[in-house]
Amino acid sequence: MGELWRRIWYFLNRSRLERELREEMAAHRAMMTPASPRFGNELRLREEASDVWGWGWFDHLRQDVRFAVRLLFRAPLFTLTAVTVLALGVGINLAAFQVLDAVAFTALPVPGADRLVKVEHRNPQGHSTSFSYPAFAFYRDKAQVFSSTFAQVYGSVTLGNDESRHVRAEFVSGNYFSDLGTRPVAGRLLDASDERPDADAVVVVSERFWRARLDANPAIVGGTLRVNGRPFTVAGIVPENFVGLRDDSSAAWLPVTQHRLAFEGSRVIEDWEDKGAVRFYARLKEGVSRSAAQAQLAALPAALGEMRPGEVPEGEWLDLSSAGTYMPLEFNNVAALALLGGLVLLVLVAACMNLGLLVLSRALGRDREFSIRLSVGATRARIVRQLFTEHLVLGIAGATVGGFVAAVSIRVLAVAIGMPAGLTPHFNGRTALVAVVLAVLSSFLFGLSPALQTARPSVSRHSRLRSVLIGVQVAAASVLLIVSGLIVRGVTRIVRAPLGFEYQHTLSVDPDLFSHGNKPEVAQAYWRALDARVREIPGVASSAVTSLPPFGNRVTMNSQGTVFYHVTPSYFDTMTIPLLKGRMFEGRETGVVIVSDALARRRWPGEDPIGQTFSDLKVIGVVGNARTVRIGDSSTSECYQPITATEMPWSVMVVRATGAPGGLARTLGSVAKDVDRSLSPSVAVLSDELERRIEAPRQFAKVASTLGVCALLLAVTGLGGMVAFTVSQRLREIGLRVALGARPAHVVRAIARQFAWPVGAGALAGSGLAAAVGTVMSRELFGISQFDPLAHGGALLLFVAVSALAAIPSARRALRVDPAQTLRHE
Amino acid sequence: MPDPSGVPPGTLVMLALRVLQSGPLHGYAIAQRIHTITNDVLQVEEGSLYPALQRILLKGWAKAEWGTSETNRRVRFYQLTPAGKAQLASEMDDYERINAAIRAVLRTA
Repeated sequence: MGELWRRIWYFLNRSRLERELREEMAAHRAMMTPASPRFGNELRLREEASDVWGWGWFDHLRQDVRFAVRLLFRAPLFTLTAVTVLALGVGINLAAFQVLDAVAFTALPVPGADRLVKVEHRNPQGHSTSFSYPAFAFYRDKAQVFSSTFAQVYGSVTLGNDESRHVRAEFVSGNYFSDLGTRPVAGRLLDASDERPDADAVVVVSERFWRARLDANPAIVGGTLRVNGRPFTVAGIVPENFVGLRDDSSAAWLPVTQHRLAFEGSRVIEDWEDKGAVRFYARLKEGVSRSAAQAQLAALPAALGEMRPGEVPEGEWLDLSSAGTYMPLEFNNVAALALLGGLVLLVLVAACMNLGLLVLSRALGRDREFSIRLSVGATRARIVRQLFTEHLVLGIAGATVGGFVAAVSIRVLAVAIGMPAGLTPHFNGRTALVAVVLAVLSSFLFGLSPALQTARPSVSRHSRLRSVLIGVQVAAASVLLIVSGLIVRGVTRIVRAPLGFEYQHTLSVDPDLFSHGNKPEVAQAYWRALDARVREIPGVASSAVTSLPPFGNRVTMNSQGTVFYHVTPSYFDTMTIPLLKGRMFEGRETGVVIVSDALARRRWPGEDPIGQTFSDLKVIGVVGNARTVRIGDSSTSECYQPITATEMPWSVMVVRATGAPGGLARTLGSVAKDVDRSLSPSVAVLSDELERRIEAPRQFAKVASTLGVCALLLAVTGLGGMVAFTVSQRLREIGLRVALGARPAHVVRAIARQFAWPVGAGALAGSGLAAAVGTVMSRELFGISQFDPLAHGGALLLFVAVSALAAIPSARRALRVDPAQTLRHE
Repeated sequence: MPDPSGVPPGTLVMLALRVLQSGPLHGYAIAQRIHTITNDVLQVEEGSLYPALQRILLKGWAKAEWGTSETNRRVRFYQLTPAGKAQLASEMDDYERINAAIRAVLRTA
């Protein structure tokens, strides 16, 4: 038995050992004769003996904790305030961490999630996240390191008889569900046999879709459901909590080999040129590491290049990244997450500074207690340790309550950021660790200044410490307020800003020509036929074809933020974009370009843009700015070229109605289908699309402003409390001043001056920090400007106004001081 | 911090180990033997033997067992372990070496 074990054994049997020691000493004293030397102080000796066991610190800690708990119970108001403030700060942080933990650190709820990888290809020129299906099939057949592979092809389809509503569908490899270990709610899910050429057309639908649109009818399994108008057999229902591979919002899944059944004419399975079709996931064989697998795959792209010359760029390799969590931390999202984490942490900083002020003023009131303890022999170190224990007890209590706050706020947060149903944030070991770290960290943060003050009391240090606490708190709160202001303003700008075109009366028609394998000439014929039919519909004012769907996700943009459109001549009329200079396109022109006002001003400041050349094209006209794609990004500009057949398969039609657009949607859909029965076109009302588009930023703005309000409340209660405390401390002095003839305004000004410095400095620092944060954010988030005087000024003004409001009761108290009474009191 | 027992730290431990060399003893007997050996030169509070004994137990140099004294009292007997014997031997060695060194210095100085 080693010494350490003996120590632990001693610890566990302490009470018995102490009893034995007492007995042994008693026996010794009984045997002593008057001639024996002194035995010594038995109590001290017993303590010395048990100190040998090395558990003295534990007893001290226990004493300290017991004392701290007693003290806190004796000041219930202080304790309640402190725990509430801390619980708020810690709770918000814990909630944020738990959400992050669920999406980024917790393995997907599928067996062997740690072996799932996403396959991408990279070469010295760049990288691509998708493959053509034949390329996927080549790698699938040649790779030795995967135990299974999955292809994912997205499509927008109609389900059932309502052919106007499009939902998202995934065309996946047959083994997708079986390999991910998903169990059906009813029926069966897809399997490898569905990939056979002679397999029946099958679809599995999501539980949500089944409940919402199929009335949760169990009889639908085995029945027929129309996909893009074609009959498919419903094989089964996918459970609601299915997370899939980073995606859970699909309504239906179909075998990838049946893409052509849903999209008549589709060539996705054999088309080498459709390089954006397939997302490639795989499962590594047991015992094969990611880097080993990547090394083994290195030769495959070259092999493909040999088989199909020109297919693979020079120096291409397959890159594997982890797909075992919902949102793996990657280079491109770490910065944004760190920024968000930092903002959330600021709430805790504000809470700690707030509490620091409270504890500091309380320490001032405990001077007597400390001086008594010092005079009876306590060391300052012992007292500081006692203080830290008190703060730690508070910190732990706050973190515990914070855990409950987190449990509640997670629900709000999960809804706000659209957490998939299959991922629930859990209180696990990691969360517990973070909670402990936050508790200890915050106790040090708010406990440091009172401890410093107690260690070496000094009045000037006290006021300096207080100023620092106020300053930091104000700074943290200002950053949060300003940043949330920036976000809210950014969202408002997206909603309110004139986009430069008419969208309230406009619809878009997307027949998804490309998914149906239509070649450019076919597409061109289709658009011509559709255009002629649409113009005859009563209520249609104008129609045009454009390569970039308004409010869509597709964008062609250069590094200067110029968006490239290919449009038919009537585009400007349909979107009501005004011509400012020059002329519009006429007939079928080539080699000409129309630029937006912003682009013209930037490229040719002070010159006439007409006749200039832009990318070898002659500028013939200047039109008003009209952001249809990057709606929140005011730094973008537009450049329009006449549309050619090449862009036709990807293009959409925009239609302006003379009246309300809603009524036209159905007619447009059926006309578009009429022109080519193999298609199932989707029609969108642009104003609805805009609403959908700004839903996420809106939720984000809600979260941000909640954080901002929390920080504001913390800072203001802290400041208000501090002012009240100062006034009550200086009541006598104020009375004296008033008695000597000071005017009330002077008194108030004297108090205000005391706080003006730290508040001003804090606000300035916060403003600067917020500007830096804004710069980073403007790169990551849509519509946020780097520096927004209104957000900055507004936040600071709000802050000052609310703090002033919080200080009014104290100021009134100071003004009502009766000099006679205070002097008598003296 | 000066040792309250008034002897150099560690001395009591060594003395107790030395006394236990001849066989198991209880606390009071150890104290008596130390007095006898040292001819009462070391004026020690008898109770300070107990922290020293606890240190010996913790280090594993001796084992303790409850038994009955000559006067029929329940007392704890301490018995040297092999580790304790080794410790005593090495401490004696150290002591001899230092003693010899000091003597040599005093003689030549």
